[in-house]
Amino acid sequence: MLKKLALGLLVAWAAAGFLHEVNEAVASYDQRQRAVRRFTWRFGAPEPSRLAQCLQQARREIPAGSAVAFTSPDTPRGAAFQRWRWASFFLPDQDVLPAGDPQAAYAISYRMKIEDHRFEPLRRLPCGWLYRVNGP
Amino acid sequence: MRMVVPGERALNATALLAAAALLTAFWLLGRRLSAALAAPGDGALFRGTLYGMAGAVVFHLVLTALDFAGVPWSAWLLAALGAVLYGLAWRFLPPRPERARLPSDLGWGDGLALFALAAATLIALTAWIATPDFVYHWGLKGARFHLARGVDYAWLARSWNWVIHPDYPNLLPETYAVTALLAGGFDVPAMLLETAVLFALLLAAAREGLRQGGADRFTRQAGVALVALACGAFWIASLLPGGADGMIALALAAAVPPLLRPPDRVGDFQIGAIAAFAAASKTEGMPLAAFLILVQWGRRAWTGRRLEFGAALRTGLPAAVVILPWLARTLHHRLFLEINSGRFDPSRAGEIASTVLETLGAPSWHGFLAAMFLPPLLLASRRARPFAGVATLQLLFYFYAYFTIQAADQTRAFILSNFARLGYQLIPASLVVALVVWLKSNRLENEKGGTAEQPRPRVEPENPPPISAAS
Repeated sequence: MLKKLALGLLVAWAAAGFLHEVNEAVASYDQRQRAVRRFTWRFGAPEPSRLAQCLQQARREIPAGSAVAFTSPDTPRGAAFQRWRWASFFLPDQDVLPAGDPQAAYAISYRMKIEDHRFEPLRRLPCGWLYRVNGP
Repeated sequence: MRMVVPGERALNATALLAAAALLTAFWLLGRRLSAALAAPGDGALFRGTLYGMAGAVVFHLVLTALDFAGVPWSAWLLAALGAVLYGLAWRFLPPRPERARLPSDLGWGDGLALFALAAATLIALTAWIATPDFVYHWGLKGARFHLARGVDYAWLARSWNWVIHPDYPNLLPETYAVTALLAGGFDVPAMLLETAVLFALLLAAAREGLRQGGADRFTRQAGVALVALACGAFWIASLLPGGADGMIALALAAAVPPLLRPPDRVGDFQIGAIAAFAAASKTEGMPLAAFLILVQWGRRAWTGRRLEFGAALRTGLPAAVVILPWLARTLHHRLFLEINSGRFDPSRAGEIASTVLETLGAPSWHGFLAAMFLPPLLLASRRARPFAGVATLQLLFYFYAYFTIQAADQTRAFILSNFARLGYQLIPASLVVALVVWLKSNRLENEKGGTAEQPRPRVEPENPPPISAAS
């Protein structure tokens, strides 16, 4: 009897935890358009959606299989890395390299502009610029 | 390539059907191996789970063979190869044993488990709880392999791709890639549906472990509900959909029934298929496969006085066929990462202990993370010892990794980032076996206390052995 009671209590505790997590997930999903940093990097959140929209245009201009450098400001700290990884996911038919890699034939700057004679602007994107990278 | 990310439009029925069709193909392929894989007392849900896992291994081996032959994947080619394999198995493999019956004793625990599964799946389909690792590597590799019509080793070997774990086994990205081939594009919710099916199979395996462990009806119902709710909560809160941790959890849970039974020929095949599935899934699956095989070999040697070659082959060959090509490719393309190996550094012990203790309070586990340490305790039970041996070795492997990989100054961050997730790999199966053992000790106490005349809880076999075998 004691065993059944203990097991029943464990199940009740687990059920309460499950309902809490379902509630948290649904509530945060409902509020996904709010720019809360905690939810910034999830599918459907504003930041990845903006990046996807930006890269969709770039994708039309860049031949498949090209090496593309991606750069963005590192604010907040760590965001540049996150954006680089999400950019790789949104451009699976390109080789998306970290900023500054000399193998890149194209470059995408997100929320910034590159002022360097080697980077020839090709197109203005919704949230940045697409460049062709010329030799030194 | 068409890539559909959540929020762009409503769910894509074609892509979801493609995912369902691929998983059904796994099941059909595995079902042709039923003469080897199905034990007489196994329930229909557990058989289906094993067939799905075995079919996934066959699928992985077919894709690996195509890669070695330099043949690009296509939906038609894969469908034709699947049909040929199915036909050959139909013609040459022995017929499957008697039909298994679906569970007829559904109860409140099954209802709660189904509710948890449905809720978790619906939330997963929004992709809101997709694991970040789906973007960082699992999904990215799937999309890339779909475009390359094969595992793109040259791309994995690029210097900047060290961040995507190029040395991981590829069963999950291959599944994503072929789903995209069938669907005509990479659809994120369809991929997440596939990992939700892994959660369903995990629950089926847990249910079978409780049933074959001899748990009474209340414990079976409470046990399956407990696993579904505790692990489902973590699956949602810790953003697991889309990753391969569920595959390792499934492998260990599916190994519970054969490890609880005395070792036999079917058990060898089951452990062999489960080990191969684990090895094809993720790096942690490699040691798990080795531990499963070694423990089964040890049991065979112990009960038969020696390890027969046939038993060794049945258990070890499937995993070897998976691991050797992976090893060859990984070495050839130099995919191993330096950060994954290092000198054993005992000076990290204090930091590891304090960080693990801190992590035990992870809110997403609601206190259940401590169940990760059940396996060493279960070694005390003679019946649970084979399972406990495997799970304890796996737990020790995790700690070994903390002592060796990454830089010493990153140990704390490393543990904080993955210890709770590694718990998901061990906890479902550990909870099942702990309940089975707890029931047993409780029954013995009752017997000592003068209630020995009480009948043992009757365990109705969902698929009783044939009358001739029973008599």
